[in-house]
Amino acid sequence: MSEVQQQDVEFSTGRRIEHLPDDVQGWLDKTLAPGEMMSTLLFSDIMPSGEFGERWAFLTNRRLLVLSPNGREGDADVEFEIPLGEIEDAEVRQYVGSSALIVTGADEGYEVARFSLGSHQEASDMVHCLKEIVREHKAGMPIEKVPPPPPRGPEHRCSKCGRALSRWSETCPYCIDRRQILRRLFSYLMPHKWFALLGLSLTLSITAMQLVPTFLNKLFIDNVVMEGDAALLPLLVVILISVHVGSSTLSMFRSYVMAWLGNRVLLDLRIKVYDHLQLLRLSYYSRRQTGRIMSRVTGDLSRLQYFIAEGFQEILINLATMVLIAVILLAMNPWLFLLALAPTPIIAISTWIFGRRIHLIYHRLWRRWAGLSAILADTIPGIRVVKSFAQERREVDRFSAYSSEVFTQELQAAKLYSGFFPFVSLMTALGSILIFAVGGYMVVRGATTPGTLIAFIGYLWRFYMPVQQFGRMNHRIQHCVTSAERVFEILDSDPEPLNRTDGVLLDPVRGKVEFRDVRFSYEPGKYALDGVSFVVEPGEMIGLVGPSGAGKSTLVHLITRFYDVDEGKILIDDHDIQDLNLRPFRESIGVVLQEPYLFHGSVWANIAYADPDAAPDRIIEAARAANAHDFILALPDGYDTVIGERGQTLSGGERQRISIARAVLRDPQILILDEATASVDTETEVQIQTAIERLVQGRTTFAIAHRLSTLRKAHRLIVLERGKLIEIGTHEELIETGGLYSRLCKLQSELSQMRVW
Amino acid sequence: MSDEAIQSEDLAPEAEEDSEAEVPSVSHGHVEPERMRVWEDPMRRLCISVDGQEHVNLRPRRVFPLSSKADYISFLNEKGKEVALLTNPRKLDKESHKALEEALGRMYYVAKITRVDSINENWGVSHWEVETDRGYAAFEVTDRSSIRNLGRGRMVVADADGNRFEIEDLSQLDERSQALVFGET
Repeated sequence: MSEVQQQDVEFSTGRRIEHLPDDVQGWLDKTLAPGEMMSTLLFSDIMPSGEFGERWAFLTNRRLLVLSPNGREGDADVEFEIPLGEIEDAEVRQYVGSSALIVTGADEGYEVARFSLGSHQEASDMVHCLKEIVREHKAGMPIEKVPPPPPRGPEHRCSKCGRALSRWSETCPYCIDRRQILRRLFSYLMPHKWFALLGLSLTLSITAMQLVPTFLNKLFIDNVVMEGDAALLPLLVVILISVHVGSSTLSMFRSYVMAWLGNRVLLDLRIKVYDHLQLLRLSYYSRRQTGRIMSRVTGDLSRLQYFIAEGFQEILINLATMVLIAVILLAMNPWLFLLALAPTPIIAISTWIFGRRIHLIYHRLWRRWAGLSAILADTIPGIRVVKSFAQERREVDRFSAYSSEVFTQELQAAKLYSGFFPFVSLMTALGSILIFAVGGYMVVRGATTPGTLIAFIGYLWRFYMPVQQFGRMNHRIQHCVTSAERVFEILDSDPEPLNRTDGVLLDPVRGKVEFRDVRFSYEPGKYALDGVSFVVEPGEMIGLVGPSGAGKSTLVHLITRFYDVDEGKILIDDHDIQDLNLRPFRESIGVVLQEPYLFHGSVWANIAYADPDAAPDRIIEAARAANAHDFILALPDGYDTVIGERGQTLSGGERQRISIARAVLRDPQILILDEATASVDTETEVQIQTAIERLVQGRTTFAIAHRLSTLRKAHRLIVLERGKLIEIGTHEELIETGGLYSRLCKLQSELSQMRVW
Repeated sequence: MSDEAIQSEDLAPEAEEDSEAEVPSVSHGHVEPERMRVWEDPMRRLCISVDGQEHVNLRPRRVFPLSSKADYISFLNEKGKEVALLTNPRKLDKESHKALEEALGRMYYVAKITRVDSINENWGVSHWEVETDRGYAAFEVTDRSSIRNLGRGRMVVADADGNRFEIEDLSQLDERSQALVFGET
């Protein structure tokens, strides 16, 4: 039983079944008839009773069967079987938290297997094969061999070890070198290695200098005070003065060098992270809250500043100091030194425990902070909604609830701190007192000089300091390593291949777009587009119609290659979109969105966003084409008017026309209009409509619109419903067919009549 | 006539290819349990009848599966349109209630965590090993937002594949489990 469970664990963590486990292969060998071949298999981890357990469903060239272990070694029962000829239909029924494979015969349905969602892909493959078989069977073809499963979409697991990948990272941290994180941090220091070395040598010299006065103390007591050597005194004073002056001067330099280094490295890294964020796939953003991404760019990075500039050096310096002092102390008195070491293990161990616990708390604390900034990023832009529903009180309550969580966690951290550091101080104090007592006795007995004892105790304090420092540093480093993890997660996330130049360069892009059996899903198992195929000729205008959620926006996102298809192909001018150089291809696409996003800046800069060096005449021309020129001139500063963070000083229609001008200026070969006229009044719509009509001339255009009247200029219409292309053709053809499109048209003309009344 | 009425009438497909039943395009709306019967047919499809009118191949959906604000069950047809909204499933006749419970049990497969053995977090992915009412399970959580705190100690955790695990009341678990889960929230 335990063996079965063990296996269960492996599969429920989703390891891909490359090779069938030996015992399962054994069952299969026993069960299959001669000449019977296995095609696809499905691991089911839920028993009919609903408990977790092991089941295997196999599709062979004769039947569909389910095997379950019966407890006897190497043996299994056939729990269910159905000959292929009796199968009428098959489906994967997707539930919440599990799925089931349902097969129906002539007059009965069977739940063949239930499984958690990790096996969903295998089940879909099996259904795909089953449907193929049924189709062939019904067509009168004999069932000889089973069709191969369809190609698979991308996995959310590491291909090497099968572990789930973090949502935002597509590299498996287990399959890369773990020490790499430190090495990587260090690598950001390398471009400035001379500065780093300068800082390091300054710090080391200062540390060495600071050890001198304690030794002079010994000379002072033993030689000047005890033996009355007055001639030595001026020399000691001169040395002391020069040591202090020297170390102060060097400290001054050091501080500046370190500050420069920290900020410089941080600057590089910050730019690098931002650069990478810009390159990341859209899916990265759709999965996370803006606030959390922002906190990585600001908070986590500043935490790294300390680590990169100071952290590495501090470790080295503390080590050096410890070794140096240990040598001095050993030379002075080996027995006293051994005694002095007594508290060190206690300090070291408690530091280690403390480090682990504080790390946990810091992790949680970081999450609370991120949550807090996520609330800000959520409610501040949504302030109008909050106000119009008078929910200020509730938002404040929500915020204060999170804030108090932060408070609680900070207190937790404080509790650990306030206990730990006094404890360590006490330990070190006890160590010195021990030396004080034993050493004092030795001085009285004449075994050592008073000066040596004083110097010894002085050095001892300095010896304990780095030990404590390590404790303090431990949590700081932990803190930074967690931050580094998060920053590197961003840097490791797979960017879009924007900079790739080895692909096909279409120059110019003609604008032929072809979909070949395209499937795409945002979440595994739920197809947003399901087997869509069509060909659009250059210059053709296509209207995309269908209820919301039908996949219209997904379709245009695939054309812009914001996402990559799971199955099938998209061809641009007969080349696979994946083989194209992405940047030049994107540059040939113009997009006008329903909610145009205008950046903070002048009207002029917004229109020329894609081409800041555009000549003024071209900008004006584009604005004219977009019916925007006149209203722009009516603005107080004309084309230089600054429009707010989200262009708030302009109306929706005006903003839309600026975004159209932006697209016109770009002169794209492929144009995408995503509900461009949905949020404006009728009069403005007419103006936008004429602008759009000018814009679409000679360009391949995909226009999404709910208001079908906006699509009257479209050459053909594509009607989508629940991810499937259900109708394609001209307006007249589709009206003729009397499908969904004609119904929508009828409905809308009724609605528009109502509006007139 | 309101816009809504027009839409729901017109958007429902007129020419149904399924000859199964004369599917009415409008939902029955709120239905009291006395008017409804629920059963599963031999084809493994959930069926209901409301005031004698039959509907085949439905998907049951809890309206508030997590917050349990009201114990409503919605029945959706293949097109994802609601056919009826049952208001008090407990009051159904015994057979119907049993059939519905079974269907719901299948629809919402959520193992209840009874003990947490370990949670190890590395690189943004946490590995959970737990004991549930359906047996031992090990799973991976890849996103903080997959752990939902529903208040009063109730939590729902979704793993990397979308499988769900529920903690009915965190305060009822043993202390070690509580501490482990607490570290993740």
